[in-house]
Amino acid sequence: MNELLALWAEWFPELWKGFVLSLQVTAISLGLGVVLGLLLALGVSAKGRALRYPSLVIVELGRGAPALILLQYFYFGLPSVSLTLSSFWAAVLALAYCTAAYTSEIIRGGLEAVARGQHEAAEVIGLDRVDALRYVILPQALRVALPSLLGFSIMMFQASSLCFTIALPEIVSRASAIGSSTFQYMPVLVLAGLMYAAVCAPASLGVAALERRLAPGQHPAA
Amino acid sequence: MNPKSIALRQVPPLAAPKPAFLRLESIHKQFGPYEVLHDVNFEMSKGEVVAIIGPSGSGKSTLLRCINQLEPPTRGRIRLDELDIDAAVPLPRAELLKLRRRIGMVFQSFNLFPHMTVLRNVSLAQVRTLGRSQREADARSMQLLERVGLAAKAGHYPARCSGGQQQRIAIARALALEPELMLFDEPTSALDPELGLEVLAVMKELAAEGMSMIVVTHEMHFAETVSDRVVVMADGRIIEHGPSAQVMRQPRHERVAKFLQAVRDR
Amino acid sequence: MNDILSMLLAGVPWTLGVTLCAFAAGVVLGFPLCALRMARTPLLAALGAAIVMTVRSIPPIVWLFFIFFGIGGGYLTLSPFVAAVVGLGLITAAQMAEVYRGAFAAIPDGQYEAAHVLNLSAPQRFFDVVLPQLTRISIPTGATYAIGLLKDSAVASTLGVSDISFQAYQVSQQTFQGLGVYSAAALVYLVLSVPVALASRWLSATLQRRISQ
Repeated sequence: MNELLALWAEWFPELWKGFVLSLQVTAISLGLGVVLGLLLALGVSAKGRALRYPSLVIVELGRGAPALILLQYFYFGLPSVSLTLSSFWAAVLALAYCTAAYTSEIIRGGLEAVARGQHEAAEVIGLDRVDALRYVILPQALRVALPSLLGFSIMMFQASSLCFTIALPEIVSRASAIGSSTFQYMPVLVLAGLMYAAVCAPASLGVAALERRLAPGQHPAA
Repeated sequence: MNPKSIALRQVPPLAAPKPAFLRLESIHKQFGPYEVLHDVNFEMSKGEVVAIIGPSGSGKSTLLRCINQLEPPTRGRIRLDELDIDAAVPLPRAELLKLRRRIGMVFQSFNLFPHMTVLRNVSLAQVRTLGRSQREADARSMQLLERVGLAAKAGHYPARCSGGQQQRIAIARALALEPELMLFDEPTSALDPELGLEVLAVMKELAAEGMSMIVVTHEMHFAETVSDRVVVMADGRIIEHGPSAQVMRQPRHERVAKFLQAVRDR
Repeated sequence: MNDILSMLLAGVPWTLGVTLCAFAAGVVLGFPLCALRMARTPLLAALGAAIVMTVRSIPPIVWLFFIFFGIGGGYLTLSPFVAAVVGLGLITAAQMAEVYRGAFAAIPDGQYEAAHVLNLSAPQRFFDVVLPQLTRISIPTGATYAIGLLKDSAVASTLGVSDISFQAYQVSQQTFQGLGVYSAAALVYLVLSVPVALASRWLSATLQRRISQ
């Protein structure tokens, strides 16, 4: 046991660097992605076909393609049209696109959950469409969407582990490097797993608690 | 020509000696294959209180919602003083906003904004639509809340208020834009009778102060005592109208008499 | 373009293989895990919850590496395919355990009472009354998850399973037409998910008809 802890202590600083990198990539992707997701949600809900159809295509492609393919598209694919990105930025753009596609559906669900009467009340007091969205509709929609958005963020953090395949020096890639040089795959991967679990497990429990507080009395869904 | 419609057009309403302030001409409203309003003509003067009554599905709420363009009519004209809105001509955004500033609306289900305090509910439109400063808007909002007896609730959220309180706040919110005409769509239908009374009291005060009001309601007592005129609708048409005392006690049409009887018997 | 497409399509059987095997394993193993999670003994219930939580808190790639390099490295030899199926199957089992837990709660209490009143034995109660309803309720969520699994199966390529993603990588390195290759790969995944969605809707409708509410 002491041996194991000693090894972990030795490897931890290295893995920690990768961990921080994963957090950075996730945070930036989420920030960009949710904003884009909001725009796409509005686009998909638009009345004009010129806005709705392209938005739908963008969303469906983003949701239908595996995250791994999106990552490799941005990193290996773009260079073939002379657009070379670093693994960091390829990761950020790919994950931001993925986030945008999924969160647009989550936010759209939130928008639809806002009662019709709220739209009418905003209209009759003379608020224009932008103000109505900004002050009345969106705040309520985002409250509904919040638990799902947070749950998705946790999934995105886990998805950042796939950036190993595009040469981003995050945890898995560093763990794999340590494993291949020491042949001690088991311990280093356990450490990597524990580091992920240390963040994702409490976060999931927190989101579940938030969900219970916002909408009490609903039976546990998957 | 339908003899009833001749009667409506040739007999000027007793309580409208001044030139018409609001005029609805040949309003038709269609939802897909269903005609919900058929050739509705209506006039009212400033300061009048008109109650619209009738069985469910008669088009009362739809008519109200046509006036402030929540549901634009399919055909017909709406005139509010110098504002002339023809259904055939698309309404520019600026004109619609002008209309909304002059007409306030109170809904059956209150529709207060749940994520804002009561005070902000009342101030928001003043800041965004009228361009007042936040301080000015808040001061005016407190005045309005006092007027409806709810100044103490200013910092609370709507969920902490009873239905009657929420509706009174909704009235304050509608009054915040200083409208010339107030529309009430079954304001007490979602309330217990005692809570409804507080709302009706506020509406009565408003009427006494000279506000022009159109009230779609099932409250026959209100229709008889507070309103100047009563309009009865059925099947998307106005079947009777006149001074409230006359319509409520001695209606000319049998159908109206039957309706009033049924409501009173309940 | 045709060559690229045919090379990508060569990966389809592997993608489907990993997905179907992992899904099947997960659907079956989800039951004992759910039973553990819903056990009346607090210790067992806590254990079940801990297992589900741990499995879901660690990314698939870490599980796959752990199984292939960690376990597979020293103690057993596992093929990439088997390691991928075991890893993804484990994660699926945890997900399905939660789906079943929600489905159990959604079965009206009257059903259990009726089964008791009819004097059915415990296995009869489970297999004839509970299981059909559980299946019916779980299908929509299960189908959504299956489509997700189809995409997650791409991670198997990191172990060397010759699935669509693996083929895409090989082809893009050989032809330097990365953009076209990966776009085509994305479309292949999209197209594959359509039958799953349709099948789930069909299955839902059939079970709805066969089992009266």
